[in-house]
Amino acid sequence: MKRVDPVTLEVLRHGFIAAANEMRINLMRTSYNPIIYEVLDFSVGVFDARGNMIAQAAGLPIFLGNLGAAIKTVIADVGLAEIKPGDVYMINDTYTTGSHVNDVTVISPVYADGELVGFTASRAHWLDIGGKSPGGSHDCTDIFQEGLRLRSVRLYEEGKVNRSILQIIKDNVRWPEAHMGDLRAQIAAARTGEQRFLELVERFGRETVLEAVAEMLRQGEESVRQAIARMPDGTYLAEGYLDNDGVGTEPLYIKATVTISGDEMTVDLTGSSEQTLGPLNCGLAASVSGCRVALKCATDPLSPVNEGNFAPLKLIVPSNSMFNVKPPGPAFLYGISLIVLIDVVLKALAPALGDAVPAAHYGDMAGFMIYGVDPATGRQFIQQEPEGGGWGAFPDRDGENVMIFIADGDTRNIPAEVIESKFPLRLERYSLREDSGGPGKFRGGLGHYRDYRLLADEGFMTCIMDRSYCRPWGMSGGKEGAHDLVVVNPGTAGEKTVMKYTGYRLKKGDVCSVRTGGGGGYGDPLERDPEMVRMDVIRELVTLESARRHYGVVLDPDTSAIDWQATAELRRRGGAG
Amino acid sequence: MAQCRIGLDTGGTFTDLVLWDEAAGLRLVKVPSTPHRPDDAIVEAYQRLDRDGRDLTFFGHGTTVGLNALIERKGARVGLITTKGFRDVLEIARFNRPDMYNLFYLKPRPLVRRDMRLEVDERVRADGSVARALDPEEFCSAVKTLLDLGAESLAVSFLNAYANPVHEEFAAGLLRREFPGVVFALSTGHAGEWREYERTSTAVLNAYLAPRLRDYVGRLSSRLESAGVLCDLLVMRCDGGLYGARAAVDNPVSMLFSGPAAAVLGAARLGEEAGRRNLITVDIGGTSCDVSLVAGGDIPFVPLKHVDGYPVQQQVVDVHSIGAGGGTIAWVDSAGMLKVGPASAGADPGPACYGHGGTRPTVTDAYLLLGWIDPDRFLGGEFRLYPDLAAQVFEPLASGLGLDLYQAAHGVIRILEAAMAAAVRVVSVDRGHDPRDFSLMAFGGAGPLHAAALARELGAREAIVPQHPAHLAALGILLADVRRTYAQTLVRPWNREALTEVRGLIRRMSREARRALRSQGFSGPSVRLAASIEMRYAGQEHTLQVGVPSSLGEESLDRVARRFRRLHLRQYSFALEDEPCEVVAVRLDASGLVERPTLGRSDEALGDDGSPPAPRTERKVCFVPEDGFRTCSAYDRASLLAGARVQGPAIIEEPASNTVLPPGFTAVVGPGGHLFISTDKNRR
Repeated sequence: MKRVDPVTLEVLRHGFIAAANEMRINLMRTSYNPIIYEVLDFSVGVFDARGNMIAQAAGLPIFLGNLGAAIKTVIADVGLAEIKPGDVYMINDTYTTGSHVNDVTVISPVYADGELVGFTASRAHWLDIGGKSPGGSHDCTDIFQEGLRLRSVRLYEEGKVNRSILQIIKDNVRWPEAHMGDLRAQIAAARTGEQRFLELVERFGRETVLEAVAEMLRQGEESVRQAIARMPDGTYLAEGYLDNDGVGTEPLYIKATVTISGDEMTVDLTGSSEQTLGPLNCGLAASVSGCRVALKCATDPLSPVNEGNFAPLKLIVPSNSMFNVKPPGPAFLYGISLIVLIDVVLKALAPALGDAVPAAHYGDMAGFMIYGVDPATGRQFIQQEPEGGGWGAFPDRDGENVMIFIADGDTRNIPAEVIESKFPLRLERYSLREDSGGPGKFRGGLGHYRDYRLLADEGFMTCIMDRSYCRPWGMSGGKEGAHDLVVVNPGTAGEKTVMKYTGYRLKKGDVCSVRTGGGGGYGDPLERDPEMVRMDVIRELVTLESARRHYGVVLDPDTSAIDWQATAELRRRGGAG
Repeated sequence: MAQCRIGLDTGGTFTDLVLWDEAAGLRLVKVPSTPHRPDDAIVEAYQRLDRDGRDLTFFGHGTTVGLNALIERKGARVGLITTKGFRDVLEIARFNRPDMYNLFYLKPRPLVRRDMRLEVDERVRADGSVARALDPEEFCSAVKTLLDLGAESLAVSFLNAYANPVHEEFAAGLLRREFPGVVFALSTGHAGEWREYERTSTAVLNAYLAPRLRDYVGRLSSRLESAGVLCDLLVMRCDGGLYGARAAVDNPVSMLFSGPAAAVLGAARLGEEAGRRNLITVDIGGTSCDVSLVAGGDIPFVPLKHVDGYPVQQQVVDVHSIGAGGGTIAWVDSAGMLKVGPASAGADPGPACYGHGGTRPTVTDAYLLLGWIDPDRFLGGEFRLYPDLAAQVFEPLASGLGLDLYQAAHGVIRILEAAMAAAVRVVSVDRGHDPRDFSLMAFGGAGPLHAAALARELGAREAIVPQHPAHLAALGILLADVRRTYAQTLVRPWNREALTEVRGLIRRMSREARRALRSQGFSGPSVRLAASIEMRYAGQEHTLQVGVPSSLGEESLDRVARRFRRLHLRQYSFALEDEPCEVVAVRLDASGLVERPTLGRSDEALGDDGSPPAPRTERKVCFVPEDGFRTCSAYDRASLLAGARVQGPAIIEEPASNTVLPPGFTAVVGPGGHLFISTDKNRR
């Protein structure tokens, strides 16, 4: 085969990225649920005929590996010969695609002159997919409680929709109208990608395009191999914990042994907890995704991503592991396990990267939803979104306040004004949570307070908070950040702290205060410049008490002036903590 | 009185002035910009005209003062007052991480530090009703605190103020009465759409830039006055309209993108004159390529734009920018891939061939190597270029890729053009337009070099290189109307009641618009009003803008819904017959029509013999690497008369720009003196 010249290659790369971006914009603009158009909880990509990713639009890193896995499953289930032009497939199977049943992938093949040249795919988070509780729950013990399962379902056959399948979906999900709207948007996006792919083939010829794709993947592999080769060979180990599996009370253990050998990286999850009864399991394809995110972050974070980046990565997961869930195990909360897995792998890699890894971020989905009946319309409503939190401190600066967790990327919060106009809720506070950032020479970023007041007569709250047992860790002597929690009716006699709960009953006027964790600190807090501590106190990021206790800095409560003598004394004694 | 008008645009590298004198015609001036005191270059450009300013009837200008103050973080120290519980909205922003694999990603820093963001206990509900009244004492004490902390200006942004600005207006009254002279901006002052972060950001940017803009406009007005300019100073805004300079400083964000807006406007007007109402505009300068799309003569707008990471809620001419221009740097990444941009050599040191110490290969170096520009005639010969320096920086790039020098130079240009074509896709196909229905108008210093190739790449109908391509923004200002825009959020199912409400709103906005324009001297036929509503399917979030007649009779109910469905089908490839749709917002664009100068060249046509035009000289140029260098004609554009036809391969030169005509293309000097380049459909 002839080699594609570097210029045509770059032109095609732009073409594929533009195709993915166009899919993304169309899906966003025609969707019906805020989780898609406001939060952007979806991912789109363009793939080759074997399901290898050619280009992906900004979206969720967590879908890095498993969009391709979804395509490969459809190929295996249906058989290449049976995949026809105009077909559209749906898949949300946990055991092959790795993620939970709420993540619905829509796939369409791309045919040029009767030959399959590739696929386009979009995966979006559906607010509801049936199952025992609206939006999902923290305590399912098998997949059947989690919702409708669709595996390689042919929704369109050669351009013709199968209405029976639509009917099955409509009858088995809550809020069917909105979800049908989102499904239409997903199909339109897949078609858009198909069109753009075909235009490239038409213009440059099939052979050139396919050869260029192979070359892009080769180059993607090369850049990551070079970055791995720069790390010293060796075996690196790190561990972390999750609070529990949602049903039991015992912490779950995550252990990653990372081996760098030449230009290859192996992640071995042997020793991590076994498959759990509750839904914190992860499908294998999602576990692969998690390791891919860590690899991409550690090696070549800024260039466009493709499948080639991940050829140098090998993952070892025992078959009974929580990271390799088997039927009928539940996995609704796989995202939390994945986030911690990514952080653990990065922590393991820190020495190999010359410690150029920030401290841990809040590292939780902080999932939160409220549902009930809207008195204005008499219809069911559901408000759901992921919550941001603090990120870890860097070796030379403070961590960032309130950003979305590592498994999500270009994902956004829902504006209070949008929430208040759509749902019987009032947002009463959205502000930084003081003292949540881990103390350090450089302080971890802060989490937030986000307080919802229910205006309907009755409603239900589901929340999934974690990381109280293994809080976001510090680095090089930095301290832990605070963890996530929900406080119901704070400051009243009925105040209650909740971590994981499905369907907590609320009455009119109740307040749910979602408090997210902070990032870990970097370096010894007693070495922090007292002037920076003083500014933190003035800006109400750190309390007077914490300044004294964690940083050994004594300030005048009225003027915030530093008492240098008392500070020196306290720091000599190693702080007041 | 004879019309005598000036349009002026301050760009990053040059300040361009165009004088149109009804009696004497056009004059163009180009002087280097003075970024730290932009008024210096403006006064300098004006004085170059060396004429009495008393007969000037119009002085319009576009400015980058606001943009520079923002990029250099030299705005005012701002204090922000918000609703209780929401002072950190500005800092939390939308919490997304666009560089999603970058562990070291930093959010844009908030422009107001936390101790200068104060809350007051007030609340308006989403339906506009008041849940808790604003306490004037509490508000005034917050203002005092901020002033004591050294605030130079204030921003006020209350939750749900888009639904009812009553508290913000009350606060404004308090500020005027109790703190006269304090500069402030309201979140609903000029924006008024929902999403608290974006609206607060807009208010803060206004407060951040207002004092600087005030100083600048005051200084410029008085310097021009002492230089003899007696007419009012007008400012171009990002909505493509002109505003009195003193009124414009109340809303500085509206001036952030005035140059690109003016250029699109100029292109649209010239296109219309030449009978081309469908245009893709491509403006290529030293560091960026700005593209836009004009369909049916309509200037495109977007309601939100990010600048240096900060969102601005503002009706902005929809221009998509990428880092691709003459100064853009070419490089090879670690995996051996050839990359172009987005970094630029800027004006200093500039491309290697400038001889000012540039050490990295740039696009201009590539032009020079391929013979697309003449080293002795760059910028009319004022500026010498050094081809040997260009070759020197291109050698290592080429050998690393296993290419020869000219293949590498040509490769850089092809990649650049691919990026530009992708940018055009963003404004065309992404929005449901087919480039084949459009003429591609290329301008800016480097635009005409790529006009023919881009038109072919996109399959555009033809390429147009307008007259004075390097002065188009300044020309656009000369051609702009005075504008006002009004918008109001109104979420209702689309039915008879909504129709009545919308009609009422449009009437009210129209009355306000007529009153405002009358005060600027426009009435009767010189006032044009265009109403539109934003619609969507009930349950969707994003909207499409549907033009409506201002009378909005009963028959409009069905007609408007049909129009919306057609738009949806075109934009997103599906429409739903039975789904109900709803109205989300009502808009009114009001223009005071300025009498426009005719800029088309009224020179003599070709002689009867139709003989081909005479080239200035011949030189060796490389158009495609396979063909190597071939001898082609170079023409002086000024010597080409109306009707002249130039066959490619050829180069058409003018002082500030060159048009490249590869083999197989033909350029004709058509209506208005513009070059119309036909693409050869048989060559790809």
